[in-house]
Amino acid sequence: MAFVDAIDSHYQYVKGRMTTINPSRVVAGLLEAQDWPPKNVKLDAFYLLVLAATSIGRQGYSASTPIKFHQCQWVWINKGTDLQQGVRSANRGDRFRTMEGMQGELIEALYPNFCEKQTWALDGNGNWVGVHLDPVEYITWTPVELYEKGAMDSGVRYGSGAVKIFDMTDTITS
Amino acid sequence: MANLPKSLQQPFRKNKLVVGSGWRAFFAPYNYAIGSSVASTVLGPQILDLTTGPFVDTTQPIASAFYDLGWIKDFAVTKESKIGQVRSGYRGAVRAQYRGQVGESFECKFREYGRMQYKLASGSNVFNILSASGQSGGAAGPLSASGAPTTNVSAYSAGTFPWGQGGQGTAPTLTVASAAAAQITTGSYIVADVDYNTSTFGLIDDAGTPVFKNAVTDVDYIRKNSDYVARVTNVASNVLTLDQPFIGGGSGNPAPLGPGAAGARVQVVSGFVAREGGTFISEWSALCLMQTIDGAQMFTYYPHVSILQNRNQGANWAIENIGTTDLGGYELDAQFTALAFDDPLDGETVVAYHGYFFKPGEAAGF
Repeated sequence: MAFVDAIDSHYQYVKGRMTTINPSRVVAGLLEAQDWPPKNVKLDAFYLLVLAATSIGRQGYSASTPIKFHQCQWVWINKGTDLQQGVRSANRGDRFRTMEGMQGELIEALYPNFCEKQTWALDGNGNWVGVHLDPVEYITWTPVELYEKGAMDSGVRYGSGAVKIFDMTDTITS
Repeated sequence: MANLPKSLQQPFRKNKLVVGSGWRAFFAPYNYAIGSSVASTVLGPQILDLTTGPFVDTTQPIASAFYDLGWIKDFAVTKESKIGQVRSGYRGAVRAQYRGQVGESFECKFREYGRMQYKLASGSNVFNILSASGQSGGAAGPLSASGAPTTNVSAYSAGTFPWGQGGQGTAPTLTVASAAAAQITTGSYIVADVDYNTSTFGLIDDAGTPVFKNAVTDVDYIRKNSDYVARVTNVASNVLTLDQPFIGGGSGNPAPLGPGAAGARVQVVSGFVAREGGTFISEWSALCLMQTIDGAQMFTYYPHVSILQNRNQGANWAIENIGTTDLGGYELDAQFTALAFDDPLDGETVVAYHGYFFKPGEAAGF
């Protein structure tokens, strides 16, 4: 068990759903917001950024089992499709459709706004493996808030989807 | 820090929290014909065997009779049972308590607006508005038009959930003598039930509609009151494919006849209407379910409920971000009273069962 379990579980759950919603869509990684964008960022791919962890406040106070909201953002960059040689058309004009399409995929992948919380580790083959907690625990998250912005100089579009993950963190016993 | 007082650190067991996202309502018809003719409170309600739970709400009907009437908002129970006290002695201390009246009411808002929800919320007999051409008598009263063309029912199949939607299950079908004769086309709304025999009175037909002796002469009266309403999604020769099975009814001694009863006919309808007033008051068996994200289930079962008041059908549901327009979600705001049920287990008079099915792996006792 670890503090990162909720974020790992959310990421792995969404990534797993994405494999059926759009098998060709890349869910590329999980990183701190300060590290965004990574070197060699993949375009048209989802990344999960972790921004902060805030407290629930008085309605859920427990010193021994602190309840936190992990402030996260799903982000991606759309460059648009380059034209093939010899084609005359508006360049990279499909950014809008790719942006809207990825937003739709993300909404579907986040359904139904909760999943089981597991603790995750790499196995010998480098694959993430989740282990159930005993007793079983769940996390929930808020409906996604979608935003986008454009960079006029580069022509790329940045997309983001903000969620807050409700997490009853590990109980402090001593 | 091992001995730090618990009231200072407030530890809690995570799997003892109940986290869900609201209630859904399932209703089954009450058998008026049986229930009103006997003193026993056990006859009439649709009995829910709790040993068949936790109930799976992704299929219908639940426990063979309870149909999903959708998400209910602001489900609130009001206890009306009273506990009396006997005070005695110089200081007037309470020496004993006893249970007085037994009662409970509940209210909810049906977020899904349909004929059955409307019948529940209004508590009255909801009339189907016949719509085929060729009727007469409409000038006599708002509901008096009658004589719309009909066609005989020859067979009815209720299909299987989810009734052909999304390619799953089997759609209900109704085979008639002539779809064209009753002006039925794809997209028509229809009602299927028997003719009213003007010599009968009392609680008639599957809907348990009360008829006073010699009060009704309309042969369509049963179809006007029938719950057996559906939409025709396809017409192939004289086989009508329906969007959903006919539900409701439920009254009859010894049992309801159903929409495929001998002598049943079909007519086209355009909507429904409830009257404020009249004699009829609807009665039901109700089941309310709330699932938690970790697999527990809370339920409330009312063997016998009836309307307390039809509060409103206003736009209570604020539709966010509409801006300056006055759009809103119209909900049916209903309030019900739980009626007595003498539990055959021990003869105790009760009105409701509020229960809980365990989630996997939780501490069961406390």
